[in-house]
Amino acid sequence: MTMSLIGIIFGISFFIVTQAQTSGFQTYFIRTILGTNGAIRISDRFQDMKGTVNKISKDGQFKFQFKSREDAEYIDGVDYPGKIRNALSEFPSINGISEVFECNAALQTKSRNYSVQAHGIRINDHMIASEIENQLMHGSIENFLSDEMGIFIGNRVAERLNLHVNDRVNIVGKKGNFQLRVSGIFETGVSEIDKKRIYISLATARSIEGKRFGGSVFQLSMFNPDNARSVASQIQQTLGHRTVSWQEREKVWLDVFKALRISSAITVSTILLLSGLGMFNVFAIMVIEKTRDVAILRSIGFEPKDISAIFLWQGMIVLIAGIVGGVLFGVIGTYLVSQIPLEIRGIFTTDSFVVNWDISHYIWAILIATIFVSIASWIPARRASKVEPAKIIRETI
Amino acid sequence: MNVPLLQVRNLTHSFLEGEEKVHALRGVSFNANQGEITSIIGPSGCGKSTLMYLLGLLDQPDSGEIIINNNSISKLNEIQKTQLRNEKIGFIFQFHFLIKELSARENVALPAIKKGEDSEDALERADQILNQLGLSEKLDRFANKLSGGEQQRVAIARALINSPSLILADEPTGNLDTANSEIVFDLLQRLSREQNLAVLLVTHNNQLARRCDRFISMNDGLIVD
Ligand SMILES: Nc1ncnc2c1ncn2[C@@H]1O[C@H](COP(=O)(O)OP(=O)(O)OP(=O)(O)O)[C@@H](O)[C@H]1O
Ligand SMILES: [Mg+2]
Repeated sequence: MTMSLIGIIFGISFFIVTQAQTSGFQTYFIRTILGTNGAIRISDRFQDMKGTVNKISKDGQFKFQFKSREDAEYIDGVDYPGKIRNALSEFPSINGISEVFECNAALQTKSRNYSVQAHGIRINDHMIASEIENQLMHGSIENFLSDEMGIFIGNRVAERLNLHVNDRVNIVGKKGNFQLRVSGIFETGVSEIDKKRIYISLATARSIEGKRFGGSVFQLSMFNPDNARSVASQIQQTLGHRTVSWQEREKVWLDVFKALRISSAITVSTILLLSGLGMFNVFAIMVIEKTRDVAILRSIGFEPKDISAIFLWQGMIVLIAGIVGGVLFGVIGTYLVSQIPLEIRGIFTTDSFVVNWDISHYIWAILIATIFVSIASWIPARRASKVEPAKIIRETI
Repeated sequence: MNVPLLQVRNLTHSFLEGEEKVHALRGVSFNANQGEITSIIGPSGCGKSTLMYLLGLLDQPDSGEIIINNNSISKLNEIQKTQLRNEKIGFIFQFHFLIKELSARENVALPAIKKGEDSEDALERADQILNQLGLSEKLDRFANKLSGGEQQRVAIARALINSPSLILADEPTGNLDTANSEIVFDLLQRLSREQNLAVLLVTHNNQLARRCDRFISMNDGLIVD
């Protein structure tokens, strides 16, 4: 019984710790991605290449029209950012709206040429729609604000080009180049972004791309990002622009995390299953050893349900002890794991294990343990209650 | 008081021994009165224990009727039977059948606790009964640390705690020496008189049997005279 108890304690605490880790990384990833790319993105880019693209001519202007299989129409370019901004202010769940003009560019220093993803922003808007302020490692928002030719660069970009705050750097776009001054270096934690992205002013971005109007995307932050899906589809319907929630955008990664969590939950649950089996064994033997006592109790007026209650009680006691111990060790284990120094420079960047404290991990662990222990004690308890007293007494004499 | 506490009518019971049917009881009828001790004797295998288990509602008869206090028990459901066993019937076996992990007083208190009595009160009453049976020194002894005679007296105390009206004793002295047998027998006789109990005593000891108020002799599943 001690072994089963230890098994249950281990099972529960392992469950809690592994869930805290996997969901910790997930939460970290989500927070980073929300803080960097926002909860919702309104764009004009088509992704569904199974549709058809038509060139239509209206009032002498050429436009591309995209017909997807669902028959939705997308027009290339957010033509009237002001209108969209007005329309978006009708959505109370939206916190920040930032117009972003994205283009490819190259950064040039004396020795190197490095291609980057330039995001043209209005820093005051973008500060609200993202966590850029907190992601700055060096430099400041004020630097950027005070300098029209300011640029924020990802820390991995800075490493590659050996750039520091206030250093000068050339940016080369399709239609122009500028000399910029590094106003800040940021780290989002997502490597792909940290080694590719730079922020410049919207005007600069348009200039180097040679596009004075249209073509921008909107990045929105929300008070409650969990609702992004439904709000995004509402926006898409109202504005007729392709609108993608972060859940859709990061679906691949979210699925990976989900698979990780489920597989670790299943793996760890086997510990609980084995403890349950061990407990079942112990109980089954106990029932055999105690048939005489069961017969005595029955002969002095105990009902079958009283008999099974005795065994169920024992199971309950082990379960409760297991839960208390398991949760305790789970909490301690989660804390210890969060203190383990660990340098990850992969999909994202962190210096220690990320853990997520979530009551649902505890509830799941307790639920699974309860199911296994209940079955493990219920079957023997039922068997004990079925003991026929007369038969046992006769056989014992 | 004219109606007997226990009436047994044409009771039969058989066991399946492989293909073969063993008729342990072939139609047993008798009465037992309150305030009397009735002995049942007969050779080994004649069905005495089988009869006791049926009367103790631990087993079902094939046919026939058991009437306790004018109520036919065949009309009762399992829960009612269990309750009747708890409150009205005291069982004493040849081998004391105590729970060895419990002390003497705890063993005695069990049926009262099951009945719903507060465990403190039940233990107190258990002490009183054990005192009356001369076990005042052994209240907290574990059951397996008592002598055979002492264990049997504890079992009697347990049978008495819910003030039953019927005591079923299956060879309670079978495992005891003469002196202890005397003690146990005297006790049962005294209790039947003082507490107006109907006592059924199965015994192999003819001398004890003859000292009882009534005397039933069995052979091969039948009562013989
Ligand atoms: N479980 C059983 N299966 C088959 N036959 C049984 C079973 N129990 C008892 N019997 C048979 O029923 C008959 C009566 O048994 P019972 O135990 O009532 O005898 P008894 O009078 O109490 O004997 P003893 O004096 O030895 O205790 C016997 O022939 C016995 O072999
Ligand atoms: Mg017998």
